[in-house]
Amino acid sequence: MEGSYRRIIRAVLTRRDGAFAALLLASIIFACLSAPLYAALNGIDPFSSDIAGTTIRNGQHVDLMQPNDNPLHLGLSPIGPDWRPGPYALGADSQGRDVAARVLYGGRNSLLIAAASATFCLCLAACIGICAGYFGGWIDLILSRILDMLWAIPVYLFAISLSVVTVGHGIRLGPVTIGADNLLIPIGIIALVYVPYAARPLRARALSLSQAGFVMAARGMGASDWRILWREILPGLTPTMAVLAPLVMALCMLAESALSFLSLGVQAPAASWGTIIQDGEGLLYTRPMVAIVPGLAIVLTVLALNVLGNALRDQLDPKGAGR
Amino acid sequence: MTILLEAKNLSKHYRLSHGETLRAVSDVSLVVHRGEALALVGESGCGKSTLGRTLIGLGVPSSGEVFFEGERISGLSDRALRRWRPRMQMVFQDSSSTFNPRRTIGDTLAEPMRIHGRTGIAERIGTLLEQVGLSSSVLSRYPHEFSGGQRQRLNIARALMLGPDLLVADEPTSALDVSVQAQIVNLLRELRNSLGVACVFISHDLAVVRQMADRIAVMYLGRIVEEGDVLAVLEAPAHPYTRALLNAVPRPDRPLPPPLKGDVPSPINPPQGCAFHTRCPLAQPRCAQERPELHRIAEGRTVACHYPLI
Repeated sequence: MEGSYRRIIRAVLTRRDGAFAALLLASIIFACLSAPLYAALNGIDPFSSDIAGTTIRNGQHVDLMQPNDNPLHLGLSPIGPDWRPGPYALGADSQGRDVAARVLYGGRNSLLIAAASATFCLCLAACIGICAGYFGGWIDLILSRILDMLWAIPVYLFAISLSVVTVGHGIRLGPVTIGADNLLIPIGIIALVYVPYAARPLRARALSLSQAGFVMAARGMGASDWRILWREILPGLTPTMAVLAPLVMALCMLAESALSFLSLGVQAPAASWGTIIQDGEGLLYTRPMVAIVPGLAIVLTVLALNVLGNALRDQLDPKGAGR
Repeated sequence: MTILLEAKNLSKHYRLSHGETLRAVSDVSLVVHRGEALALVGESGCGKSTLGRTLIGLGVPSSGEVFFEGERISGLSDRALRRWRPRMQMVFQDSSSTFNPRRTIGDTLAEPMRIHGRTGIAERIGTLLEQVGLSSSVLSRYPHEFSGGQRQRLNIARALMLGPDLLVADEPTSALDVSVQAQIVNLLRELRNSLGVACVFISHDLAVVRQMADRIAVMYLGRIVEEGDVLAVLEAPAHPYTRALLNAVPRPDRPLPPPLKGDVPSPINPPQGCAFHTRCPLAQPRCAQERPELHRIAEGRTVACHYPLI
C-alpha cells in the first residue's frame, strides 16, 4: 500500500474520463482564480452598477444600456455579448455590470462555498458515522434515527427553511455573531442538509471496519476506544471519503446555486453563479447569455465533479467497476 | 505450580434476535498454571474460540468469573482491564485480517508499547524480530507483502511485545500450509521454553496439540467434557467424544473407523442430558435424562461421562 494514494491518483488521471474531468475542473478553478486579473486588465468593477456607463465596441464609444429593438424603441436592454476578449465580452447585466467578470467572481464564491460546505459536511458525517458504526447499540440507534429524520425532509425544502430563518438576520449565539451576509451561513446550512447523505456510507464502512481482526487485536493490546477510532478506523475511511468528496461537493454546488437563485444564499452585491442566473432571469428573452453562461458553468463543474468521483470510486473499488 | 489464570463456572451466552439464546460457552471451569500450555480442543463451533477470548477479557462473560493471579478480572471496566492487558495477549487465527492494511509492520509492532507508554521500542522490536526469525527489513513493509507464515510470526511477535505471562493462541496454524504449520509450532514451542510464557492453545489438530501442550481440555457444545495430561488423554481417552476425535485422525496402521453419526446439535437448542448422547455410540437411556458432571477419574484427570471408557 506504499504510495497507494499517489498510485490511485495516477490511475484516475490516466483514465480518459478522469483526465477529462480533472482538466475541466482545473481550468474552471484557474479561470475563477484569475477573476481579478480580468477585472484589472479591462478596468471594470463588477460589483457596482454602472447604468450610465459606456464601453468601446468596434472603436466606438457605445452606451452600456441600449434601446430595445422593438418598433417604438421602448425600454433599455444591457449591451449584448461580442465574444471578443476585452471588457463586456459577455455583455452587461441589467445593472450595467460586466457579466464575464461577475461569472468569474461568482465562480469563486460558488466553488468556495461548495468546497467548504463539502469539507464541513464530510467532517460532520465522519464523526457521526464513526460513532454510530463503531459504538453501535443505542448510540447507533439514536444517531441513525436522527439521520433518517433529517433525510426524510426534502433537502431543498430543508435548506430553504433554514435559510429563511437565518439569512437577513444573521445568527447570534451568545458572544458569537455571524452577520447576515456572511458566507458561513450558506456554508453551514448546505453542509448540514447533506450530512445524512455522506454519513450513511461512512457508518457502514466504520461498522465493517470495527469488526475487523485488527480492531479486536488493538483492543486486546489495551488500546482505548478513542485510540482505536483515531488510529485504526479513521484511516480506513479515507477511501470512502475520497469518493464522497467530489460527489458531495457537486451536490453542495447545486444547493448553493438554488439558494442563491432564491436570494437565500450569497447576498448582493457579492455574486455566485446562482445569483447571476437570477439576475439573468428578467433578461431571458433579450439577453439569454446572462443566465445561460453561469448555468453552463454550474453544469460543467458538477459534471466534472461527478465524473471525477465515479472514476475515483472505480479505481478504489475494482469490484464495483462499470457501474 | 502456581495458578496463573482461573475460570470459575464461566458462561458466554448470546441473545439472538428471535429471543433465542446461543450458549457458546456453558459453565466452564479451568485453570492455567504459570508457564504451562493448555490445549483447548473441539470441533468448529464448540465455543473454544469464544472461551479463549472471554478468558482474557475480549468479551464479557454472561456469568462466572475469571481470576488472574488471584485477582478477579471479569466484570472490570474497559479502563480497569487495560492495566491487565499487557499480561495476557492473544495470537489470532487469521493473520491476514489482524494487521491494519494501512500501517507498516514497524508501526503495528510499536503500537502496544506506545499504548502502555513503554520506552525502548526499537530495541524491543529488534529482540522480538530476532526471536521469531525475521530481519528488521520487514519494518517498513505493509502486511499484504508477507506470506501467511511470516505474518503469523509477526502476529506472535506483536503478542509478545509487552512480555505477557499468558498467550492465548487461537488456531495459530489452521490458516497455514502444512510445512509452515510445523515452523510456527516449533517457534511457539521454542518461545515457550525460552520465555516461560503460559499458553492456551486453541486447536482442532490433535497432532499439533500433542507437540505443543502439557494439558488438554476437550470441548463439546460449549462444555468441557474431558480434561487431563495431554499424553494420558490422547493415549487412553475416557470420554467417547475424545475417542471419536482421535479416531478421525487418519493413521497408516489401521483403516479409518466409521465417523460419528449425525451433526453437532445447535448450541441454540442443546440436547437434554448429556449434550453428546445424540451422537454417542455408547449412549444409555440415562444419558438422555441426566447431565454428567465433570468428575475425577484419576490424578489430574476429569471427565464428564456416566460411562467413562477407563
